[in-house]
Amino acid sequence: MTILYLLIPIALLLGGGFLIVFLVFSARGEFDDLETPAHRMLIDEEK
Amino acid sequence: MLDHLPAPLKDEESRSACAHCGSFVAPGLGGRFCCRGCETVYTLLQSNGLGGYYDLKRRLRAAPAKPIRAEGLESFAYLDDPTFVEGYAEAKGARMRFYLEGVHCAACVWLTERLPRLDSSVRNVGLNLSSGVATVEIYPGGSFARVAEEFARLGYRPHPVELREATARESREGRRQLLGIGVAAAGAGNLMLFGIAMYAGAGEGFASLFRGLSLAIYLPVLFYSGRPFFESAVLSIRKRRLAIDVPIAFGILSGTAASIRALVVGSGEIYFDSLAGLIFLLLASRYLLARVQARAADASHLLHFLTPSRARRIDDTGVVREVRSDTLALGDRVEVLAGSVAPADGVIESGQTAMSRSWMTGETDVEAVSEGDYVLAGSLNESARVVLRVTASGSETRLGEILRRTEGAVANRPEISRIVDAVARYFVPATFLLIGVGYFLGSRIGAAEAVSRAIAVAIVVCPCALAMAVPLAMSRTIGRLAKGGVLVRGADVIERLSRVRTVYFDKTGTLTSGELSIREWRSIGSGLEKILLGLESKSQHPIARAIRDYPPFRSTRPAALDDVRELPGVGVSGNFAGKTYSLRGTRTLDLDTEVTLYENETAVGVLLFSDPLRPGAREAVDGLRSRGLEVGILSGDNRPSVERVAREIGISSEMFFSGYSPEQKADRVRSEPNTLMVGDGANDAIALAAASVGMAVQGGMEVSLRAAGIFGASKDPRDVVRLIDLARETMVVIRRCLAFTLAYNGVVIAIALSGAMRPLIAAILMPTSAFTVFALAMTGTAALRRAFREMTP
Repeated sequence: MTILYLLIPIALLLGGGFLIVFLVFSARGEFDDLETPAHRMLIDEEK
Repeated sequence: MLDHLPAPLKDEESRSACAHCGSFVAPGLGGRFCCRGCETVYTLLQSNGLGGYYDLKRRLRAAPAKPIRAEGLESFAYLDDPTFVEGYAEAKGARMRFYLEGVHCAACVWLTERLPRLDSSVRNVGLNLSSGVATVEIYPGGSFARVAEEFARLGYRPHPVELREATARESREGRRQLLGIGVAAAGAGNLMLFGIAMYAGAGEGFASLFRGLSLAIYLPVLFYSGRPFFESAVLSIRKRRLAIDVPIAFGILSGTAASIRALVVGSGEIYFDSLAGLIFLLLASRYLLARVQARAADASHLLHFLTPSRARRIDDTGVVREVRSDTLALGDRVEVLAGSVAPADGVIESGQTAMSRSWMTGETDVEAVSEGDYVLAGSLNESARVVLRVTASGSETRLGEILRRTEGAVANRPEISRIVDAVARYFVPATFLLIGVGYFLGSRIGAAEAVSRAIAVAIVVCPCALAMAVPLAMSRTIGRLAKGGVLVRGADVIERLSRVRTVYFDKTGTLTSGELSIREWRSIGSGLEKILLGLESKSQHPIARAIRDYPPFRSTRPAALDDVRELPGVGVSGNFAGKTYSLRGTRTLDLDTEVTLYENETAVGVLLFSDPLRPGAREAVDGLRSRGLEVGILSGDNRPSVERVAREIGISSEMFFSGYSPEQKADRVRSEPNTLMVGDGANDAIALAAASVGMAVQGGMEVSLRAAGIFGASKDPRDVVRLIDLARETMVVIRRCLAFTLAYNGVVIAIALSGAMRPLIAAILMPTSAFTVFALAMTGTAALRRAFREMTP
């Protein structure tokens, strides 16, 4: 079970990493508008 | 030149529709467009490879574009002025935000975001559909004035958004909330992992490691995500009002304290995972509600863009310069072009025209004005250019005055719900009482037991489920309404709506359609209809529109008249077959307007107008009565016309009031408790703000939208009944959640008092109760679900 001493810090780092990504993107305003992207999906991209 | 265009669209009445906007086609444009403006846009889009716009609109079944008014396009030159750019542009003058009128679907997103194709100096355009704000980035050397002109040409009238607007503040607040939720969610998730390990029986070494780690992960959640609760609790304690956040903060703190003590001492239970989960759920439910309420806030903030922020001032040398409307001084001379709105109160110095005051009265009120007449800020110039001498500007104008009055009334908004407040008020003393009981019961066994039971009670007693349920239920209702085009300002509006006892309607525009329509056409001899159509074919006047829309005239082709002249405020004249025809009417238009057609000065025909009742008005009144509500009419119009409407929909003479000023309406509404005021027009703004709930009907004026708690896109009075039903059902759901919360608390208190509370039990009970409340709030009642299904879309 001593492997946990390695796994737990890795898990925490990973989790922390994702949290930081979320925080950075939120601060940049990526999540400000959740409605327009839904409409954008309906538009076909041209070549 | 127009051969490469697709075949003209046909509408249901098989009369050709404009390829751009779908209105009826006018002669002389190849049978494809209603006006030059639409033709220009159409060719512009097609020649730049943007014709996909029309296909997209068709595919999305979106509302058609608005017809483009080619005359009276404003000048946007001021946008390139350095002082302007300073206050409005970010990123060193490279980025500016514009509110665009008329964006409402994916096709609009598609088109506006492809502006770079039309203008290579534009780097990027990003449109936010819910607020209608487009963020535009240009390359150095580009010009925002040109961008604004392009938007205007496409039919989306742009208004620059100032940097330090409240919208920036709100989006920052929203982001902060999101950050708090993110931290809480990450923390709670990880804590639960460790928690499960410990419940499953972690070994000695690991148990203490996990406990320590749990604290480490929990602390950021407590201090960062939990801060809003503590701040609000402190605030309400200072104000001596026990809001719901007080017991919540207390519960979180006691749980934290007890867990830390257990950690330090080495034995006892820790509750970090449940606490973090609680913080997360509470924050998430509040965020959902805030988002849904933000839509309404967006709409009302951007309203002040609709009154002109720019004015065309004529300086002493006769040069016209664009300035900000609120910098106009007494005695300044401004030019008001046809199709624009007067930027200030003033006296006409030269020119004559017809001004529409429907912003103020909500009535279809077009008045002829000429030299010496007073004009109010906000009036729309229907016909011709005039020069105005300013008598009042900015907040001193009548419009500004009304806005100021409504702002005051709107400023103090109470808590989310009276129910929640009531619960909070009893909860705190009840909690302390129960803690005491726990201590007492435990002390019969021993001091340690006394403390542990007291703490157990402190931790589990929580109105949290209720604190979650109300935002969830409200956000669901408000969100669903928003999709159907009804914007509700806040959860408190829904609650007050459910308690309404009396409903007052405005007359014109609310109960009636607010638009002139022809009641009757009497003529001597036949064949005069084509003269009428010929006279009015190019006019935008309300009478002209009514004539064009009159069904019996639909199949008549307008005669081609010579020398057609529009005399503002008087009528229209032209020549045909050697005779002079003119259509002249009364000075102001109201319900009993008559307009006479003259042939060489002999009257040969008369048009009678009326303002028809909206379909569903009678049913709405009946529906409200059958629900035990009283219904009345408040109108500024004269008594006979109000009486006529009252009679038609079944309102007795004590309940209708005519000739009321805005202040009188507000007084009447204030005189009774629990009133709902339904209206439009600035005339109603004060009353809308004074009522318990104000509902602004669309087609009405921007000012009232600011004062009202609800603004609706519907033109059907029956929606008032549906809204009240929805509000009542939502309160039923909330009361159900309240009942559950009380039951849950009863159970956990019993467990805590009996000494059987363990972190495992708490860890099971808390999420279970949260989940149950969530389910209860989101599924609602059968009646509510049915109501949602029946709503459009």
